[in-house]
Amino acid sequence: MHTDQQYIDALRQNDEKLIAKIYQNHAPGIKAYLQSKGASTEDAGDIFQEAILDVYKLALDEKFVLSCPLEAFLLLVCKRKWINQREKFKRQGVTKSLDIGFPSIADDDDHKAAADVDRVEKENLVMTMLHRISERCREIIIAAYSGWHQEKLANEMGVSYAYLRKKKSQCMAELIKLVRNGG
Amino acid sequence: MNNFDAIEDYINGDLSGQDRIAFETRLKTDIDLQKDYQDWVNTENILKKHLSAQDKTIQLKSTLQPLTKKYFSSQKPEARLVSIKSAWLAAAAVAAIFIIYFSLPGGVDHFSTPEMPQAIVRGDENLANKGALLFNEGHYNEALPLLQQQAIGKPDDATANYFYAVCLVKTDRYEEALPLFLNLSKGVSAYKVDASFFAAYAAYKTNKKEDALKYAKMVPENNPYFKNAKKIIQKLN
Repeated sequence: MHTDQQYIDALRQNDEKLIAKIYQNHAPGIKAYLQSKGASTEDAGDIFQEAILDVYKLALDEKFVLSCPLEAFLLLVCKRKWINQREKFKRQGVTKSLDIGFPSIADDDDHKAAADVDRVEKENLVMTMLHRISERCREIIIAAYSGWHQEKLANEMGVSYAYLRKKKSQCMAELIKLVRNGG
Repeated sequence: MNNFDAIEDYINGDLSGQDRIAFETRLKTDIDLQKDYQDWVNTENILKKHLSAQDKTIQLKSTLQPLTKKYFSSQKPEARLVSIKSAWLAAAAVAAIFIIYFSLPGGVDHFSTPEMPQAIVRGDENLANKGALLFNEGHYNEALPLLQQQAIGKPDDATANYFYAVCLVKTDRYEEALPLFLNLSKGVSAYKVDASFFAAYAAYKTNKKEDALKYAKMVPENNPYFKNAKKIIQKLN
């Protein structure tokens, strides 16, 4: 386990002091990197913040362990986000040759870190697509997976339990198809 | 019954013993069903994970927001006192806007209405919560006097002023909304950029072409209202 794992715990616990340290230690370097790739200061800020949130989403899985320095991991996430945002080089992974002077990930850890980033990108895609399906479907899915008992939910929505189940499976199919098509 | 209906029944435990065995047998051999089942399970796990963490994610965002501003701001922010509650509300509201943000089909009038935070309000619960509740339910005429009272009582509270101004827009009172949005868009609150869009929109609705263009152009590409702002620019050019 990497010593930077303490920052993963800090995100889980919303530890303001340690989270401020993440910014203090890593924001300037990653900002410089993103700006060197053409991002504005505001773009860099948005991407950095999204990257921290992505790390947090990964950290929601209790078993998540950081396999490399946090800065290198954040840089990988930010780089992918910037590339995706620019829509120039979709999913081409790490471009180390362009990144002399910036932290990179050791080869052994590269695969795991990239897999983690893939995973959180997939999760983000599902949540983005959730907001593209019909409003009724979104309501049903959010309620169904926010701990509502389905019979109670059907009652609340004024529909039969059978209808709700049928509708939910249609909504899930709609969502899954959108995710498969990448939106 | 299609694959997804069968999967829903299977996962819910609604299949009879015989149907359950038949489903499991099919699952071993039917490649399409395997894929649909796997995708369903993965999607379900992601939804459960993210939806159950929504409150904590909003709290974390409220920690990150000022830090992002501090380390990534291109302008030196004006000195200003912001209460913890206001910052919390602002961050939560921004998060709520993103949560409810859908792909917008276009058209100047088709914009997503932000959701006003209510459950996390501390102090003035009754007034704030009632106004927020009515606003979120789309009862803008009823919400308006309550939000107005909030905004008048707290002229420096960006959240109160922002939602009061949005409520004015939703009740077609663009002339009154415009100065509030102009003020917010010149400030440093979390609503600064969103307010620029609404300023552009209110100016557009009151035939103030120059202001509409000026503020629409201030909405950056990564903002949820960018598409709407672009539509205003297209309409006016």
